[in-house]
Amino acid sequence: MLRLRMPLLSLFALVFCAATARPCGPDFPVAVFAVWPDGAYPSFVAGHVGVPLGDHARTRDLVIAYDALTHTPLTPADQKQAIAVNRSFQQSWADTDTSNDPPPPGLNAWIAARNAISLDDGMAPTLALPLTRAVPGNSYEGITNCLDDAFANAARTLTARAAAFGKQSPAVLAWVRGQDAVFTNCGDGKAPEYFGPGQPPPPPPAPRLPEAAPTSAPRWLQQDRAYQLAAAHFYALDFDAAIAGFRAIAADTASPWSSLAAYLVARANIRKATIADATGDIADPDRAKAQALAAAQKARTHADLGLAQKQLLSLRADPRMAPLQIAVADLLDYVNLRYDPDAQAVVLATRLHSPATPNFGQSLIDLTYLRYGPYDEVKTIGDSADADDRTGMLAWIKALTTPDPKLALAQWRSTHTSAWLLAAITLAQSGDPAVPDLLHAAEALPATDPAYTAVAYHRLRLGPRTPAARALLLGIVPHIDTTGAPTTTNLFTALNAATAPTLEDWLRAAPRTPTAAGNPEIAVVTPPQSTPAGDTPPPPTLENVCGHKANSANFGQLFDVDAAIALNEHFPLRLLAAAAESSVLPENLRFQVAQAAWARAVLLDLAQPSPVDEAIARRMAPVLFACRATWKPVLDAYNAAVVATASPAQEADRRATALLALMRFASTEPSVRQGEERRGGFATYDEFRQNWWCSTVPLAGGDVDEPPDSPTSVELGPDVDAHYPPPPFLTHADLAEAQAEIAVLRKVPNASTYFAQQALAWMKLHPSDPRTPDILGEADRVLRNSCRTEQPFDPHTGKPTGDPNDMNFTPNLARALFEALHTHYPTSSWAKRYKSWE
Amino acid sequence: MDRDARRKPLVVFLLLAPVAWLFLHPHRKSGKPATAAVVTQLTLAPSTMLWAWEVPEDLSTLDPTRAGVAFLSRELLLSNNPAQPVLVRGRHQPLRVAPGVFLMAVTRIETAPGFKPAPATAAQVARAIAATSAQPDIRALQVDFDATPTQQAFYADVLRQLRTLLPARLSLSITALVGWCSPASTSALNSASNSVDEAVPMFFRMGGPAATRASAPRSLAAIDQPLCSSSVGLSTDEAWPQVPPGRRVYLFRPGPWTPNDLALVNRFGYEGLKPHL
Repeated sequence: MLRLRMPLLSLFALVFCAATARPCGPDFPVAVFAVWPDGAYPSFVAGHVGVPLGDHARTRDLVIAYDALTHTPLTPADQKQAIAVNRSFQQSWADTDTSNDPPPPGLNAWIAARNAISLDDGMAPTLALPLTRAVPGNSYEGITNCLDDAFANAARTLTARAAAFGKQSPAVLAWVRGQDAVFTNCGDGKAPEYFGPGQPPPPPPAPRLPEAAPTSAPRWLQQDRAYQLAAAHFYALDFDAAIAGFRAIAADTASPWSSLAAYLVARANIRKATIADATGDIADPDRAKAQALAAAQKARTHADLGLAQKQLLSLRADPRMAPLQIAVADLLDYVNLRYDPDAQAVVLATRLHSPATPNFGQSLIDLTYLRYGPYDEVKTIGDSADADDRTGMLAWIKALTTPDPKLALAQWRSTHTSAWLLAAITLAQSGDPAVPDLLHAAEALPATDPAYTAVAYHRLRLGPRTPAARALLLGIVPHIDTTGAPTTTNLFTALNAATAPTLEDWLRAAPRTPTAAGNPEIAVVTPPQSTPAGDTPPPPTLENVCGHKANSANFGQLFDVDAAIALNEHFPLRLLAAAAESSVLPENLRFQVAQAAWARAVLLDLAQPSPVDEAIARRMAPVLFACRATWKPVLDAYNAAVVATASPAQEADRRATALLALMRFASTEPSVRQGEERRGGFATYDEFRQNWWCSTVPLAGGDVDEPPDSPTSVELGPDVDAHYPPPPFLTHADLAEAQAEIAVLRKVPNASTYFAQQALAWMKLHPSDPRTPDILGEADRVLRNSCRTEQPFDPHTGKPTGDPNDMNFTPNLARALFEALHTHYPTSSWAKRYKSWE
Repeated sequence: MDRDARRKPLVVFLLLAPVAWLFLHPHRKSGKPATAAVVTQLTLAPSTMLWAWEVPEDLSTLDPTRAGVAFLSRELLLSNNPAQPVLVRGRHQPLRVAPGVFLMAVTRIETAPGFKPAPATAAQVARAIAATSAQPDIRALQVDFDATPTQQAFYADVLRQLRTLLPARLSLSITALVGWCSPASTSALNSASNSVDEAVPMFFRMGGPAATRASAPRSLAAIDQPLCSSSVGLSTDEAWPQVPPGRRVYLFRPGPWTPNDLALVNRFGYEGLKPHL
């Protein structure tokens, strides 16, 4: 009776929108470079383990990996089941088009069989027949009461009875009336109306029972009626009566329902155990009483499950029950999951580690349920299960997911298996005393071992970043298994970048192909669905940022966090420029780097005139307008205004054209992005105000859309520099130069504040300059569309804090720009355009 | 706003003039937007509401004076299947709450690919949602539906019909994408504003780089519609915008609420669960 387990899936359906492939908020692509498992799931279940990552690995994936690593790979049948289970966990019920789905076969068959009988008692069923019932009490849950098999069974029985005795015979009609009565107990009856808070709910509907068969009725009808009566009690949640009824039928060996009734006694006990009456229980305001009630209820449930287990074990040993053995075995698994979870975990591990398990898929689901119980944080499998599990699977999974490096190391030392080597080396950190031993063992692992690729990765990760390490990496790469796994490629490419001896080598390793997009909690990329005209179009996939048709060479690659940190925080401006001029980077990334280099050069030059910065800005021009021709007039004007030695007039000219050039396109930003292109693409506004910059140089791992005080680097941990050290080809002088530039750049506030302050300062010095209205107006445009700096307020009192006249606050700057335009330049197009200051 | 965008409010105003006054307000300078009329039940709701989703939840230690519970009661899947255009899935996990807690029954609506809204479906959906009110101690209903632009007229129809099925004292709330609440919103849902007492803009799971989205605080400056101005939806694992006092805060937690979470709410209200990212 696998269907009884369907409710278990709802524990993991995670239907809340945040956890499906349909986020609650705006749907932006999010590049993920490393997930596990990676690539096509069929490839993974076929044994391409890849590099297991993180302590949030899923139980089902770790089971499959363990089997592969211990040389007991999945059979084709097991692979098929594993793929189906994975899909069921990952897909929302809204992900498939159900337009053409047939109705439930059992219910459909019952409706057809019933409609073949001419009995107009107003009880003819339809597909709208209610099948769920509220659980009595105050737990707000319901159960799927009548499962499709029940209708299938009823249809078969009616067809047989009608064929044998005539479909309009009084006995058959009486049977149908009885069965109609049974199925009216599937739902809650007439929908109650709203009864308001503090009011008791209406009583549940009285059970609708078939009339007792008269003693003159044919024997078959009396036997069927006894079954119908017991079933009616079952669906009416009167389990004691159902158990008594089914027991009596089981004892009647002449009844065709005898065997099934014996099975249903156990089912009724299980229902009784799992559908607790919550009235007056643990919601009692007297906490001690509530806890006592809860404990008593738990004890009752355990006792009822124990009773069901005993019954099922007895049925399993009964030769009479041979036709129902699969159902009995499935129900026994259901009971044991709850009654004796540790023992059942061992049973499941044994099954999952054996070849050709008929219920491999259900076992995967059950073990997942056991490991994650009611709360994600609580693992319900005890340590005794690990000790009893001869496969070692449970301990291996626990070591990786806890994580427990001591356990992994101890197990490796005692077993010397490659599976435990992988666990131990995955959990090891640089500097651990065991690392030399682990590296030595990793070196000896043959390339044919299923753990080789993952172990090799960690061997390189833990080893020193020396030229010898690079030689080792380049020697290993040809042997790694990257079958359908972009993550593996990305991980080794990141190592390549981390050991790159030259800028060109680094540039070759910096771009990475994302392995998935969408909500990062889901590794599978949801296939694009057709959207009706007028709906929000999907993110652009046909053009890259330069407006060219996108392909894997010019759009498919992005910077991962290590490359973004290197470019934004470690590269001095002159090397950024060199990177932009190199032909190694794909077109879209070269544009990002060139734009960042140009913006930084101009901002630095504005802060402190420098022929070096001016020259760099000039060099970026051809790269920028090779991507976007609209840059040309802007850059031509800027380049014409920039001279090596400037008179005051020329200096002013340079300043004005620089400000106007920076403000021209909303997409101008002084840093590269990690894992994405700018959402709005080139020039267009982003409606969430992520235009220009909030930070010139974001903290490590952040991006320009975040304010400077964003605590992003805290998320990356205090050892961000240790995790993402500068590329080795950068010298101390390079790094010092970069830090000096960044120190200046980080003094530049967000774009709204910066341009407003610059524009107002410009106006003071050059009130009659014909460009002044434009500079003020463009600054106002930036302010209306970019990051804001609001006056803070005390969250407890609601009162504002700080100086209300602080000219860093956006509202104050907005008003100042507005008043400047309207007071001094009232006939300008900008004054006409902006009629209010916000 | 740039030149082209200035035209949009004028067109919207002309098209939605009969009901536009509820949503549009004349000044964008700085003042607070006008609030829609509030029905009594929702005014009794605590300032903190915990979303309880499809996992076993024991919230019996939650102080009813500090927080209420908006629990997933039902899910509806809408499709073009002629036999079963509306599939209903009830709650399958127990929810325990203390007596007297403010309870809001939430219905989540999903649509199968290619779903085409139909008037008959709207009536069925409205009835299915209304049925969630017939549970113990329900004070309000909430609908959670990420309606696409072409589904919004249908959704507005559902909400109007739903309102007629509910007693006046039962409040109706909806969750809202932040974009529906923005100054430039032209959502067709505006036409159903009279049916709804509250729209909760959800400031989480808004996308962005994987490593940084959680810690990028958003700004409530994106919110301009009156129905969206009395509440906000936040997550315990993403940075929060600055929440002005007086807003009702709905909190989402990935995974079930723990006793420690509830103790923090009892002591500090929603602030007790502010993530320190």
